[in-house]
Amino acid sequence: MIYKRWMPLFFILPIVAYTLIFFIYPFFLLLLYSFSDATLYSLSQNFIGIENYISVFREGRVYFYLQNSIIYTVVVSFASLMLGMVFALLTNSIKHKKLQRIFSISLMLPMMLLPVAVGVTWSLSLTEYYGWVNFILEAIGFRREAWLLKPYALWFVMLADVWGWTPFMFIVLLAALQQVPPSILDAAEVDGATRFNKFRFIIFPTLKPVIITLTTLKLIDTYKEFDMLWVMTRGGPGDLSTNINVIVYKSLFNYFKLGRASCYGVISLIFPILVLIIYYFIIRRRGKD
Amino acid sequence: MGEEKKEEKAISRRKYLGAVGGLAAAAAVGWGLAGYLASKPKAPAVEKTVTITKTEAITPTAPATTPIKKYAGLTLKVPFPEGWGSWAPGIAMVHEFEEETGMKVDYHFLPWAENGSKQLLEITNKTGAYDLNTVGAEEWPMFLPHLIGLNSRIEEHWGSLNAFMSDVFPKLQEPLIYEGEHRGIPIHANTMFLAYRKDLFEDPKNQKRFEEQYGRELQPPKTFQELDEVATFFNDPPRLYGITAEQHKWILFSTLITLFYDAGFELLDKDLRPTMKYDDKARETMIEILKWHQDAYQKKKYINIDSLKFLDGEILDFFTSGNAAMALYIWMDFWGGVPGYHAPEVRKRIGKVEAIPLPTIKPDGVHHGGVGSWWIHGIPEDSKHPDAAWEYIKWAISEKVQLACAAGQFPPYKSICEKAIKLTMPHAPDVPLIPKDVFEVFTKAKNLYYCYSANKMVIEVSMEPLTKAQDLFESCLLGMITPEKAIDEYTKALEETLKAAGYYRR
Repeated sequence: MIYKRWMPLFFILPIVAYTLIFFIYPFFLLLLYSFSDATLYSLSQNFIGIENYISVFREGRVYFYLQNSIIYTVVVSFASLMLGMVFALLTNSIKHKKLQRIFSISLMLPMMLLPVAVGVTWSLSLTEYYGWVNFILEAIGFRREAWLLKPYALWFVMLADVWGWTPFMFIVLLAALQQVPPSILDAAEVDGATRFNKFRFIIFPTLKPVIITLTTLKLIDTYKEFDMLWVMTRGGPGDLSTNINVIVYKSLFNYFKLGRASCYGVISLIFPILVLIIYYFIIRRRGKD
Repeated sequence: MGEEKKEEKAISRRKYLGAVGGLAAAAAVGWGLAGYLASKPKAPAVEKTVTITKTEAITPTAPATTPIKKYAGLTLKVPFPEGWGSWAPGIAMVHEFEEETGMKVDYHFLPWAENGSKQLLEITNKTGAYDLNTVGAEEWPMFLPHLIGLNSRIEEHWGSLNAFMSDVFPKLQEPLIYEGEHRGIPIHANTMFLAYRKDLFEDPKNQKRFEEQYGRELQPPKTFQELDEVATFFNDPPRLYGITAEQHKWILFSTLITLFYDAGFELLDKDLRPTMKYDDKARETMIEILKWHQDAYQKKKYINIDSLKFLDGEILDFFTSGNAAMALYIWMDFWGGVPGYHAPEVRKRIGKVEAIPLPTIKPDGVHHGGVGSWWIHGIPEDSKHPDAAWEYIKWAISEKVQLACAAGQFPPYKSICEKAIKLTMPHAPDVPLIPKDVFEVFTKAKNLYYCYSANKMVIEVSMEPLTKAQDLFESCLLGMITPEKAIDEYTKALEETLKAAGYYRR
């Protein structure tokens, strides 16, 4: 009896231990540090209550960093999703299997590059003097610009990110698309359904669970963006492309303020938790349906 | 039944093939890994870029290192910035130290951006990861409380503290001392200069045209007013920019503040208040510096805007490709440490490159000494082998190592510098190893993080305010904010940080 009662707990022990060690403990540590004046250069640290939070919100720049994070996340996620969907539909419509495979592989290539390599490549491409982007723009009558030194530099980082991550969306959506039974599509065609109607009433509802999961994953993943932003702009010009992750890094490794960085770290958790809550409710409603 | 058996067979075949495939993949990965490990060189391969061909017999002030075998068999863990051109010849010579002492030097090459923070993390957590630290001037103040005092060792090696102090450049002396103890030994000194293409300046056509336009002889500029004229004269983008400047975000603040110091000002006054806020002349000067650069990038456009994003190597490439007449804020690392400026193919393309001190922002052309950069070795409190680390430090500052590295830095000891200044580049015998005029100005250079008027190291200057200044000054140079706003915001951040750190409590 006791064996039956405790055995399941024994089996979940590894995952509980894993969660406790790698998630719960670091989270509480983060929370603890956010209430301290800890620095990287001093051994002492004092409990200062919510002083870090007060100063961060009083300075007010945190709203701008959060705004940058959210704009970046939403734009990159949905643009990648849309483009991925378009490419997946186009590729799926190619009847010639070999051609379809070549098309898929060539579309997947950017995904295989390291984000840092993508960042460096785009960074050089967007320079005023050497960049190929300016060569093309100049050829069609526009003026050369150092795009990553413009106030809207963040949008160019988004462009690079979309370029790098659309293939991931594409490949998942293509796999899902290929699971749509052709017989249903054929039947709809016999019934006179247009391409758009087939997409609206058959393909999209079939892909919906994949799209929801994919979007949630992509939203959370994009929200964590740091590498490409750091390589391409270092949060600049000024701090105009600084997002919440860049300010966490800067606070820790430029300002050496562990307490302040932890405070930003805690604030940065708001958005992913919100997304997960929304995701949870969508899934629960779908379960009820 | 027969169908089931077939299915089972197919499954077991698949399992078998899967297992074989898995084993084959594991073997391939293992083979690859073994191959990689086997091919991995034992010591980091650093190409020796500079060799000294001409040496003169001068008695050294700093004592020579006596090889000792006391620590034979020991491995020293030494963190070092990765790919540092200045020190490449020194690293390439480390085998000599290893042979002399029987020790092994295990360099941990760290990316530049993480060099300070990585070492700081190890030192504050007392992990004992490194036997000594290699730290740049910006991070140095934060390391001070965690390093052991070196007074007794210095006295033993140099004979007295005074003998050591008299050999180190004057303004570098104070920042080395913390709570009465010397905590660091400089291994590298550096400053910024202006490089220009001599052929362009000496071209009779250019000279004639310049004289017609400006009514004076075409000369390398000594002041920023002259620089403005010369840059405007040569500027013909995108074929040729007047200037390219090493001003990417990391060093932007240093480039501007060096002009401010060279004009005779300091960052903080004797009460540790920002001079840019409380001293009208200082404020005017800083506004003038920012305005000049803002105009150069935005209005007159004689500095290529990419300068604000290009890293040091990209600036070198831009200049040596013949895209600019002058290169501003170039560090010694790239003077000879990387033979780029004087390589034969570069000479063929852009002619001879010469170096002069940075022009002064004030029209009098008087140098009060800008901001110098130093790299220092210190021994952390948690060092597992402090005595062996000291042996390594003595080797690193020995004459032969310092002279070998002198093409990419000033040896931070006067006695060695005096010798280095008489030498020429091995790959360009008509180019001095150390440009004399640049060196003269350097001897007055100050440390940014030490308040000389208050005789106090102000650690906090190098943290949040520095990063904020980089952001603000970049925005200013891009024309997004005015110089006045950039200064106001910076001094506000500086004052708030110092206030929070308790500097203004009475």
